[in-house]
Amino acid sequence: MPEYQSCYTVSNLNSQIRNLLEGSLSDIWVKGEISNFHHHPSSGHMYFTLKDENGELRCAMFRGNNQYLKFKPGNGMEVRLFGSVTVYEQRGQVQLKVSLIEPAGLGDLFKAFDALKKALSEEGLFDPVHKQPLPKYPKIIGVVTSGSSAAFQDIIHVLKRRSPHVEIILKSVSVQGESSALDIADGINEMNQFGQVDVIILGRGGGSLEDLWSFNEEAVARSIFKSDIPIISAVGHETDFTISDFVADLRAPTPSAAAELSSIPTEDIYASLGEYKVDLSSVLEKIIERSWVRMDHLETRTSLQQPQKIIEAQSDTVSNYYQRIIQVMQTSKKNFVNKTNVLEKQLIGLGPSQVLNRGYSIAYIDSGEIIRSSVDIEIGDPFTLSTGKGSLGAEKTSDL
Amino acid sequence: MAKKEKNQTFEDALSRLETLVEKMESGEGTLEQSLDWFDEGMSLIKSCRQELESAEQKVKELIKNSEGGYSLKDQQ
Repeated sequence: MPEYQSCYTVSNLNSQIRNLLEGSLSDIWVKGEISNFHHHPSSGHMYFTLKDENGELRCAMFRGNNQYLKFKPGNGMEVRLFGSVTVYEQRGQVQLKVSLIEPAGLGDLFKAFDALKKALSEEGLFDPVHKQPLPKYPKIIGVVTSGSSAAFQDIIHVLKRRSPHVEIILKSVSVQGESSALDIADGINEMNQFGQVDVIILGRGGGSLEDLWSFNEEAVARSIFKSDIPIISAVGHETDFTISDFVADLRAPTPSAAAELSSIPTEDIYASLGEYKVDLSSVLEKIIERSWVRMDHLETRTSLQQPQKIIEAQSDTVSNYYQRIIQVMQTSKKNFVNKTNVLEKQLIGLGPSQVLNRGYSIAYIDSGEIIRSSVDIEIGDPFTLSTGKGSLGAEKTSDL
Repeated sequence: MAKKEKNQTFEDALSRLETLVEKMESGEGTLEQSLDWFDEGMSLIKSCRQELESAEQKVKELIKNSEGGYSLKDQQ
């Protein structure tokens, strides 16, 4: 029969238990699933039960420890807790005083994400100097994603509505699960080897962090960085950021948005073509006008007998041609180009060069004045003869 | 990785058009050259428009064959 003198009071025993547990089970990690989660509104403390298949553990995370959490704990969530076992003496209840909480499984992913992001950033893979500009008028858009995904259908849908002239080339890859990162990286490399696409959309629809994980792997990051073809990364939803978003030349919030960012509406291209047509026509109009004015000027300036007569005789015709060119341009007829070519030849035929080509020459003295009379210069004076093909120096030897 | 030769794209055609307009505006060419440039510009516009008009969205899949080359398979 045991003796009574060492009989504990409940409080004493609880206190003793507490000391024993706190001494040997402090600063430990434990993992399990959250249930009965309660975030006390006024105190700010969190109380919940951590459980696995065979057991439960009461947990408390006090306000001071829980106010800067990067995620929101909730029932059913697999977590890893760091803390110390203690006893709530008033109830004799064992509980874990939690100082850290992180998603189990996800925790490792977060760490890996941060570490890779830091390493690649230091290496310069996110540096804006490496970003390639997107083509303004892409004709062929490469898409690296799962061919059976909603993301791919979204991309097709947007491009069909907006830019039906664009051709889409799919490289279908697995975007989730074992070895998908290597598959994606290969897809990007193959698009580059194929070489015919103007821009690549790297896409995937929304999902959990684990679902999107392959886009956080180094192999994908490296193949994006290496790509000669500009890449738009569109992974998950607007709030999801992946390593591939940081390396890519442009991040789009969703695959649909990537399709919008990658292409110009067909209508806008029609408009640009129209503008170029107007520009070309109006510039040509000015050039022809300038040529005409120059010739007009030549006509009044020269005193070459023969050319002047020709020019006088034909200046009305020149004027007519000019008017016709303007008219043709303004009406923008389809056969304008051919007409202009014909008119151009006719116009050139009217210039003094053609006359000179027929054997006439113009005689100049050094000052550039044209010799109009044999007495304009003395015997022995040099002058220049300008022919249809080149000029030559000459000297007056006699009056005839 | 060396870039491969691409087909004439809108990108090329439209930037060529821009160059042609600039060259003509600069007045650097003769009348004859300007008419050639105009000619070239108009035919670029025409071929671009034709391409736009005849284009219907094509979706193809890139397939790598065993010899390491590539082929395109029609989708849809």
